[in-house]
Amino acid sequence: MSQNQPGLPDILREVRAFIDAVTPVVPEQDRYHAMCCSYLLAVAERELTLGAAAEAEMQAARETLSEVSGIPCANETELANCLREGKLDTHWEAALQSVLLQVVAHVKVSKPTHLDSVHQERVP
Amino acid sequence: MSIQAPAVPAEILARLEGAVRRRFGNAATVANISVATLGGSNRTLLFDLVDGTARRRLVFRQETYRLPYSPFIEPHLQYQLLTLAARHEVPVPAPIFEFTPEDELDRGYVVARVDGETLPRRLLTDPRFTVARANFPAEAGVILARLHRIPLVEAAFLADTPESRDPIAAQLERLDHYGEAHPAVELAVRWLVRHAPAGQRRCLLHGDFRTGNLMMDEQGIRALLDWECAHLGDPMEEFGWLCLRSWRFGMLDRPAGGMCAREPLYAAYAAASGQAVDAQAVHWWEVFGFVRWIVLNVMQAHGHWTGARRSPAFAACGRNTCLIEYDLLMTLLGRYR
Repeated sequence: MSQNQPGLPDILREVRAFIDAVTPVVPEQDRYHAMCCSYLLAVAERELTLGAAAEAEMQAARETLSEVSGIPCANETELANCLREGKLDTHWEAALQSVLLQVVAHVKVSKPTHLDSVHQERVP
Repeated sequence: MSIQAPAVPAEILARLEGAVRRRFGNAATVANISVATLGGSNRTLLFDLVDGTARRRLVFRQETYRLPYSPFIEPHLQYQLLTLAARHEVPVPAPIFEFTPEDELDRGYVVARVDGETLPRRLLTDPRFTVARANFPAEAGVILARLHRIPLVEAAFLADTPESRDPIAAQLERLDHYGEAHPAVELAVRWLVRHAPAGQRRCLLHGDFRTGNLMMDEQGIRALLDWECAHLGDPMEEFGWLCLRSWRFGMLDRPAGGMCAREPLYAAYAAASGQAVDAQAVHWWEVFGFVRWIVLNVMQAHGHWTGARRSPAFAACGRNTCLIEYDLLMTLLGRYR
């Protein structure tokens, strides 16, 4: 279903810009929550634009682990269960690398500046 | 959601005044009441106890929200701990009284207000606290040594908490309650199980010793706050938690709470306690600390999205869990120290 302009990322960006502008002048007891609101709007904007790619990265990382270990883990829940049950203990290094890639995909949506330079996206 | 500071219901104020008169006489009153706006599951008020010409600034803490599968010990045990710690010269806000059924204030207590600063950003960057930061390793070492020296028999009332019995199992039980899959947590738990340090000591732990829970003035530490995570365990856990990357508040080259390097703190603790700090054990407890901190954030987010306790801050906790997971995994890989 298409909607008129502006698109959702634009709307979120504009609302966030307003919150950032008024945060310095809201009552002090509300300032922290205002900053949290700004942060959450940025997360929402990134999820809209990057979410599908992040999901694909996580899925690819799980598939690689399944191929290496021979243990199918179709989603996060199955992977967590396999790990809890010790099924991936003998493939721990591969599991660590796979889970790291999946977490990196999450962080790209939540707060990409949190990533170490080795995981930062290179700006073309 | 109101933008105003939450008002204190009139009956709470009336009951507080009743509680004060019950203990200090009918002439005692309360005045200058203000709401402390930063906090978790409690109503925290500052007020003056006025008794004739004497006036004393106190802190009222009332439990307002009981979490299912709570990691926090109940207010009565917190008050017991404050009394115990004070008796052993661990700096804490002086306990004044705890609520009894006649007060009709449910669970909570009153302590003395300690002047100072707790905000990490100020403590770690403001030039006013340069001396306090320099004194931190020695002071923290002495305080922790005193705390860990408290005879276990005097803290036996904490022996049966989930954290005291089995800290790893406690985290997993809580995580299962929230119904979220966290492969990073599961991975770390497998590592913890296979690398558990041998010969762990057992003593009373504060459980949340970090910048943010230390009341400090320009000279140093005035009081250790927020005892709701106290339990019995290995003293190395205390250092693992303090040195967690999350508690450096951006001062990544100062692992001990963003204040200082590890070595001077460890040396000060060893000198004060007669017990060396085992760096490998501290690393294990740092990995555990990440697991615990992730579960705490999942808990806060769960309270938000289930509607039990909504706020932008608790919503942000949910989206922050992956940041902590990232730090955990980079630490397991040896890329973060």
